[in-house]
Amino acid sequence: MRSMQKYYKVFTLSFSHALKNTKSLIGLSFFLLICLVIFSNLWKVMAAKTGAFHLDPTTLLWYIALNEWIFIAIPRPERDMEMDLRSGKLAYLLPRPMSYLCSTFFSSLGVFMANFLVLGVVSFGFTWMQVGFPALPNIAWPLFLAIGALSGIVGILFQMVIGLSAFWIHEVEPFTWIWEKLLFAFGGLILPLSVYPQWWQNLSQFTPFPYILGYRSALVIEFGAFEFFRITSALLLFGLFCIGAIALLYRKGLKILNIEGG
Amino acid sequence: MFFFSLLKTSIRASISLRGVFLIESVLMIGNNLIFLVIWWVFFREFKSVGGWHFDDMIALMTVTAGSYGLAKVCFGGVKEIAKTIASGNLDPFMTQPKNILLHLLGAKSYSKGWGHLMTAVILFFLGTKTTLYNLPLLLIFILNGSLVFTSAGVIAHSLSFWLGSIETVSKKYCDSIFLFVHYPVNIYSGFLQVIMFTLFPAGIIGYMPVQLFQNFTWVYFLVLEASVLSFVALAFSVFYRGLRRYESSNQFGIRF
Repeated sequence: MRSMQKYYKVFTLSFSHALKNTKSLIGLSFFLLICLVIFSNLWKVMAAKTGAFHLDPTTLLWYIALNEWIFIAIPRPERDMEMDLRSGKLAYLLPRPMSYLCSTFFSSLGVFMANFLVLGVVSFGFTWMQVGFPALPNIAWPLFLAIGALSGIVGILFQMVIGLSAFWIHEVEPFTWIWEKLLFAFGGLILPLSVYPQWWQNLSQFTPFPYILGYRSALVIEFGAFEFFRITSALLLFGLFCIGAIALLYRKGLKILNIEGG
Repeated sequence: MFFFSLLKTSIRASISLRGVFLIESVLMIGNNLIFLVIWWVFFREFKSVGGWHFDDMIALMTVTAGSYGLAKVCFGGVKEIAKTIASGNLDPFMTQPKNILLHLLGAKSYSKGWGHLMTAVILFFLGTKTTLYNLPLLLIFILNGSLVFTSAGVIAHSLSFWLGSIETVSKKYCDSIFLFVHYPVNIYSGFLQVIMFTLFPAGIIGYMPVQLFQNFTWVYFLVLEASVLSFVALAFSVFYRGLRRYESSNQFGIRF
């Protein structure tokens, strides 16, 4: 338990730094609002086409808002990890009496929680002003927060897997682009997956992307306790898979570590 | 001549790691094509958006990918301007008898730009709006787009002369333009549409060229060119006005 205290400290420090970094929070909020403006306008045009779509524009905007909120709130630990590995800084971090991976995770979690809170207010506020609240049971809202936080955590873990690839490749950013576009495509970022071809839907359900974004946000379209537990279970499973992959890659990576002037 | 020599050096530096360059280019093409697939799914369901069809979206993506790629390859230094100003590191650029803004812009080239340019080539062959007949027009639009992307970036980053360290906000502004250009501007109405041709010039980069592919008129073409030139002139004006307020950090540095 005492060993967790230092990571809790890393988390709180990172959280307070992220909250004080107002320029970054303003930038992210601005970016989130732009995404919401684009998609709210896109769906207004589509809604004007009678019979074009079977979903209600109100719930659709909430769906997109819940997606964008988490998509933008997830920080970029892979960039820091790449720099640590490329610059040789890792050599200084390894002897510290704390795990490099755990400190990276808790530091990212602190940033995520700050983004999560601020962007949550922005996205919920904007969407509420645009279309009002959707008809949902009261219990749904705290569950949205809980599952949103969980999907963000799983997102961080996957980004850490990408970050560890820096042991073998020079730049990890191209992999981040692909990860983001797959989240976009298989996660149903701007379109619920029910719109996609059946083979696409079948394929995406075996990937983590819709659990991080689309399925989770689709709860606003049709909320159900079974679906909530199904998504939570899948997120936990993918999270465990990531932890295993991170541990394995890190162990293999350390064996080939070449410190660049560290 | 100076700019092209500088550019040659920057490009050589950016592609010196061949393996990274190839991986970045291939993954960038994959990244852009995944986005195209999403639009394919969208138009498969909705057929048209504001009179635009999937072919129009391919044309839009051809122009925007080409423009963004060219801007990244030739004017990559724009991303560093705010940071350079805020940290007082313009001195090495000011001591040389060359145009400071061009020197700053050409000082960096991003290899990922080649991935975008290659995407534009692939999309050129995939689309039906872009043909060998209108290839010169496409090349003009790509050059226009890269100039507008760069000019908007220069304006945003030059605000550092007045506002100090605004690097994050400037980058987000540039990212936002990149985001806006990927959607047809005719989904907005009223004031928002005005913003798309002024504050966020997505309409000038992508929308107007596609409209010209659909129905070319010399008047519309000249309006587009005038808009592009206005952005370029504004970028130079804002940068040099701001430069008068520049304060050195008294750091010693040499730039070869």
